[in-house]
Amino acid sequence: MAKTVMVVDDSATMRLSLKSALEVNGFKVECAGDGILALNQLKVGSKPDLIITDINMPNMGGLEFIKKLRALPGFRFIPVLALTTESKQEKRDEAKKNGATGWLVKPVAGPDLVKVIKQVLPGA
Amino acid sequence: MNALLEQFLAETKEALQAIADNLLQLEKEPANDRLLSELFRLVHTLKGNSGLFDLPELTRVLHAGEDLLDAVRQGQVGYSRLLADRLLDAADYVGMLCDEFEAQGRVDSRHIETSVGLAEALRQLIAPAAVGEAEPSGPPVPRHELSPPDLPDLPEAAQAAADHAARQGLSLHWLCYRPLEECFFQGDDPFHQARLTPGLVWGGIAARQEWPDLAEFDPYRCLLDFRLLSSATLPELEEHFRYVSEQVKIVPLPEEFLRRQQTTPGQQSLPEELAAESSTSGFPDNKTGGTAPFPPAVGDLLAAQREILTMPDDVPWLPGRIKAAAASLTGCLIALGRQEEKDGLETALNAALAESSSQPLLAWLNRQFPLPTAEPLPQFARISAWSQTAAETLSEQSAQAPPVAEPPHPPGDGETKFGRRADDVLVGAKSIKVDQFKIDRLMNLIGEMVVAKNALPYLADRAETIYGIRDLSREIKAQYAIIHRIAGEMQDSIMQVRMMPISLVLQRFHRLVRDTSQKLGKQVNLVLQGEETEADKNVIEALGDPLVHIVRNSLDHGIESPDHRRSLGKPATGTIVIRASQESDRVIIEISDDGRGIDPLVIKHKAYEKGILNAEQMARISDQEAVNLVFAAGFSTAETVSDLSGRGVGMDVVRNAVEKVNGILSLESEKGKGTRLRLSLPLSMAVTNVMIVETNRQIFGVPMESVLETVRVPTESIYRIKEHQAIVLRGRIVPLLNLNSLLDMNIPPETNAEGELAVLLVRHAGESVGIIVDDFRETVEIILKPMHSVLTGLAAYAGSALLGNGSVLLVLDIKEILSCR
Repeated sequence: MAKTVMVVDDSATMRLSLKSALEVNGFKVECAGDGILALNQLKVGSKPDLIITDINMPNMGGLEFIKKLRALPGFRFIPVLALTTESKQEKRDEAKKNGATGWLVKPVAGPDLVKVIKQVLPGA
Repeated sequence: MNALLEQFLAETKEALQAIADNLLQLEKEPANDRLLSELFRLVHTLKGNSGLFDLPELTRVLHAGEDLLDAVRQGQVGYSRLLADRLLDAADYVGMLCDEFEAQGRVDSRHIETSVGLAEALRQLIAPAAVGEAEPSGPPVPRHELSPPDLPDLPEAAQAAADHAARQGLSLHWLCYRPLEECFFQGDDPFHQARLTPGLVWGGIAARQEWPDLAEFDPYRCLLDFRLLSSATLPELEEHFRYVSEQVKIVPLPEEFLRRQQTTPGQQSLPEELAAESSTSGFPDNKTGGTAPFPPAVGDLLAAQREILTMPDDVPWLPGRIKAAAASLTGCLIALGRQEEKDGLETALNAALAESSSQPLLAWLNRQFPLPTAEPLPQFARISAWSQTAAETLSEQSAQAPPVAEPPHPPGDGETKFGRRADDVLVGAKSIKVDQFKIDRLMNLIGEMVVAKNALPYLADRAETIYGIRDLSREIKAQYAIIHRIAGEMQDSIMQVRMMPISLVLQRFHRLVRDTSQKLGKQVNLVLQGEETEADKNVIEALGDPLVHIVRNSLDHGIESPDHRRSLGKPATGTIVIRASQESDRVIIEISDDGRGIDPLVIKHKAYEKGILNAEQMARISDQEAVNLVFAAGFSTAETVSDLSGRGVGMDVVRNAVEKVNGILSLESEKGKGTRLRLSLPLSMAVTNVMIVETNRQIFGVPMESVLETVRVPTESIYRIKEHQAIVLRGRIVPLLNLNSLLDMNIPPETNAEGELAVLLVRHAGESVGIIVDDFRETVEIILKPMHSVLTGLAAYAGSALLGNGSVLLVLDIKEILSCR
């Protein structure tokens, strides 16, 4: 069965870009515009296999979102990739500290994306 | 253009506007952290998005902007006007690039210099120390101190494989992967991660400590260590483990280690043979079915035979199956160079055939190729061979060893429902973006529906007059009333969709006023009121340019310099107010300033100089009329042509633009006090109100916007002034024109029974003109469709519309008709 990936990013461009890259590779994709919207989607029954989230978003940023996500029952173990433009190590560490599984550095090209997903998502 | 690019450009434009707004807001309250973060986020997002396209110029500038804002955000750099200026420049540049990219699909290479310049200007503002930080960091520093290998005694099979890899010239690395205890809560799957290690030669899992009692055992804590031997290069391994780099220790295996392995007596033989003797290894060959040290193919074959032989024996083809299995096993022996064991196999085969049972053969197989016993090495609580076969054997042993903490999978769906609470309402996006084309289509459809609906009264009439069925006629009328109501509501709703807040055009004025006033050395405060007033998208769009021009005029000619203002006793800072409001079905926008106002005398003299007025007119016209002369073509009051309002367009252009969308522009001014311009625009241009007039037995529509009033004029009260006709209406002379002759129909107008002519008073170029028609009819709401193809040449008509009875109504363009008389 196709795995579902949730993409959380405030930029519609980034959402569209990731969505098409993922869909081409056979994933189902759900999108949300910020942390709050994503949490709400998850609370009402959305069950993605992997979440890719931007860090810098209005209303609720990625780090807070990951923290809250991990507190939700059913999402404690889900792999979460943080999308970041920073290539700085401390940003990555911060993301990891907040519960991210890994990170992706924007812009993400299709093949890289799939490689990383295969790495964090068993059975993908 | 592809959808992604379209999305990017649209989003970029929105973001640029928001950036400009935030910068201006920040100027007022530089200490506002929220604004700053928002600003940073916008630039950051843009930069991220720009990477999706091949736009290095864009990315360069945005990156510099992002770094600068980051520095500001962290308090390294203070907010300054210069900083805002440079950022605004950068935003403008980005906007320009996007426009170019949109128009041409690429960006001219000559922009590179500009982008470098802009980026440098931005980076200059970052403190020198911070510049270094902003530079991308150099090659990653090795994260691990290379400690002397802390190697456990490798199983012989692993040593053999390592030896084999080393002989092929591959570098060998020893990895210790110690996942965080809480790694499962970060979505890590250490087992999966380890299994996918590139170039994996061998792998083992070991418990980190003594397993606790089952009662205290927490399966959600990862207490395992992974030991891995890989033939991949260091960069490959670092890349693979980059998310958990601090949990992995990578040690290159020193050459002497391998040499030592190679020179060990008895271990020089081929890896396969070596491995054949070792049965307790944890060799992680995840491709072969078994843990046995065979070439993969042999392992697979053996596993397959074992499977075949354990199948139930009660099938008629059992002898064939046994023979086939034996043949395969013979092949395996040959491949392994163990031909001497063939005799034993022969014996087992014969016994099996004699007993009609697979058992003897299976027994032989198990004897010669025993399943791995997987006895733990001293410090390994369990060596997991990652395969199904191994899993089978593991289950046999589960009684002896404590359970391995398997990577837990997320708790079942059942848990989600506990996450749902009554207050968890879905806060979805409140608005959706819809292609304008779709709305237009809806609009057209509802227009057609209104027309179709209007056919019903005609039908009702026919039912009564032609077929004589009165009841049916009444029912049709009742039904018509219902459809009429629904269609009306539908039309309103669809028009509502097209409504947009005026703030869309007004928000850019903050920037305009700021930049312009700075350039002119004036101090101006812009006040916006009623930005939430809504109007049709087309109206809003048509409003932009005229408004810009009006505001520029106010800035340039209206507001005085601060010194001058002070000397007049006015506050040094001038004020421009843009106020939007709704009055019945029109939007009113007033632009007022407290500047010097318009001096009618100056205007009169200017008009005289430019030949717009003659001396006699100059003496006669009222002050208000003089002020209105600014709308006359070719009139510009600017003493010197500045680069602001003096761009060759005068207020006449503004008025034309406003009138194009059926707007009305009026101006009031008091010398020394200020000027007020008032724009009145229809809320929506979708539905047009027209009055139907009849002339020469034809009907025409006249847009209600141009109709001032209708009067009946007795023929005898018409004056003739040379070839022209005129009437005196309420003390004013109104020129009269004949619609028939305007439309090139040489038929005199008809009078009604009382000998009166029907005169339609219309507004043209600020004065009233009477148009003689044969008769007035009702006013109707129509959906005006512009003329198509070859008919577009007929400038006299604004368009056509369908009437309820299915006939076509041509709507006159009064302005056009009157100007070409």
